Amino acid sequence: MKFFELVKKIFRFLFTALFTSALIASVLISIPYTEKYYKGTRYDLTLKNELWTKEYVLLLAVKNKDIPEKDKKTEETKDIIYRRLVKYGVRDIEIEEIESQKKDEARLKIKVKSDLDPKDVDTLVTERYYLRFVIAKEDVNFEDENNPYSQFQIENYISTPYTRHDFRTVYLTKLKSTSGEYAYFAIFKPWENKLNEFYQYFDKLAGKRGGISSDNLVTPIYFPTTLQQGSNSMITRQPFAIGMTVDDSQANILDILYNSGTVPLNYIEESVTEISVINEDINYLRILLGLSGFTLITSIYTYFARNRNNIIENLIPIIATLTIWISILKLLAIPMSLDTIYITSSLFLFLSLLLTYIEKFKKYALFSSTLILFSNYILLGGYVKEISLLLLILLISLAVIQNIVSWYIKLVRNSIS
Amino acid sequence: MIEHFRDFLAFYSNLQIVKHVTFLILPLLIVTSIFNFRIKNWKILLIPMITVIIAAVLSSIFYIFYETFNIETNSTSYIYLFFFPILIAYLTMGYIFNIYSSESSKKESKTNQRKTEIRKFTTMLTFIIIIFFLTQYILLPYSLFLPILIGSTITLVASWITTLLFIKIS
Repeated sequence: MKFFELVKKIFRFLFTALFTSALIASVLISIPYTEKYYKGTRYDLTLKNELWTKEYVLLLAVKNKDIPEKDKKTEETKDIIYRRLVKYGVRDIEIEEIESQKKDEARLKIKVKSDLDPKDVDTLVTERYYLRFVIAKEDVNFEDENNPYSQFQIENYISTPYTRHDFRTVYLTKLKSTSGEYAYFAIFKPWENKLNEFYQYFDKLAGKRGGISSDNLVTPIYFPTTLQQGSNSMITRQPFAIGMTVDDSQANILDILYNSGTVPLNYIEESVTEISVINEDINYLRILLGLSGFTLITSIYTYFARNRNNIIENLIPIIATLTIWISILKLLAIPMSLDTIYITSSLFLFLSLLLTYIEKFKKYALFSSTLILFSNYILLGGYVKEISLLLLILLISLAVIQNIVSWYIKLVRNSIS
Repeated sequence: MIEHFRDFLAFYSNLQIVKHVTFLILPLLIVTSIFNFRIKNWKILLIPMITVIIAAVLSSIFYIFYETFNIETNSTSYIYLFFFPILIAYLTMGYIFNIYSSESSKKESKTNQRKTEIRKFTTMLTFIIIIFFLTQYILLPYSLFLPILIGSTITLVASWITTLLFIKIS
């Protein structure tokens, strides 16, 4: 019995020692300028790419039959481009319509600010991506060495009546290709009422050369065989899946282009202007001092107004959560912009100090705030989504760390006594 | 008639604000229906709902104002103008449920104690918001003065209305 008590004591002692060292280490790693005084390893924050800003002007062509609905279709176009950019995670998007004198044209001015790949953003803004299935003309020689681009030219194909409107969704997923490697396949899911018609049309073309045209450029494909006969002579239908790409980021762009709606008007890019961005100088040290000041003043107020005994017990988990998060960012070199870290930390400190006031996060307050953060993460996009997710993770971690710390404090008190 | 209705819907569905309001209403319904089993006082359930709605309406008005007059809007100003007040309104709602879910909810002394609790909480909230606003104002290098000021004011207005309602009803 005494032996077990001794082992227990040793483990408790080891835990308190390890936790104290981890806490001190995380504080030291997370504070700025550690690398100045410690030469062994560098503990720099890996910052995301710098922000860039572009202004696009799109010229929308309105067909005669669309003139009565010009405003509605322009608004729809604006909405789809906005949706695409939000899905991709572009931080700031401003879209406004420029007044146009002509009835058959409209103009959109789109201003974006982001740190993501500019080429992808260009694609999302400037390409209409009107999808239509096409069938290869029989008299065209696609193997012609003199014209290697023949398979991409729209004039070598005949249009089918099937466009993006005929599909409920286009689902992009990774599947094993015939060569045994994994690639992204687009599974076209037709509307239920058009299902039979669609399969009847494409079953006849199974194995034949065709393509998916978007903005007069064709992505060549072979129409898939969807009917399959099993060993028990049962006939089953496979999904209409077409191999698209092996590249993850390209698959993401395709997914956004396919599933953000069909742009109703044809358009071209009239101009693109790069605007120089003044990357706001956010000083890491100033942030640290400011947030520490905020925490200190609020804690002192809480101490006198409310729970006089628990100031250390309340502050340790908050500081531990924040410093562990920043240390993880530093050690794993996770890229993040400084203002994201700043805004997340400020909101987290605000929330956690309030929750501390509600004495060890009473379940309702924690539940309602996590629920709003979660719904925000699900429904909204871009920058706000990123901040919501980070806050959600930090709040949940805080709830866990709170329990560990109260156990730790108990152990330390016992060891001292 | 149907055409008019469709136009009306199209107009409002194009406003992103509809999406933002959806994200408020859904959790609100979930939270209140879950807590409804525990707190059998519909008046108390109504107060936090009013808080969130007040915060949402005020934020939406200012957000539309921002959009309409093309005052420089970005994600950060959105966070302070819309996200922040709603988040705090939800937290206040959680706090009220906290106070009310205690076992001996029918005793007279408990009611007074709750009133004092909520008054203390709002004072604390006001203090933290003012300090938060000042820190943000001093720290942030870019011009976020207006969204932070509006967001903080909305939060304070919503929480004080909640407190007054709570004191009056309970």
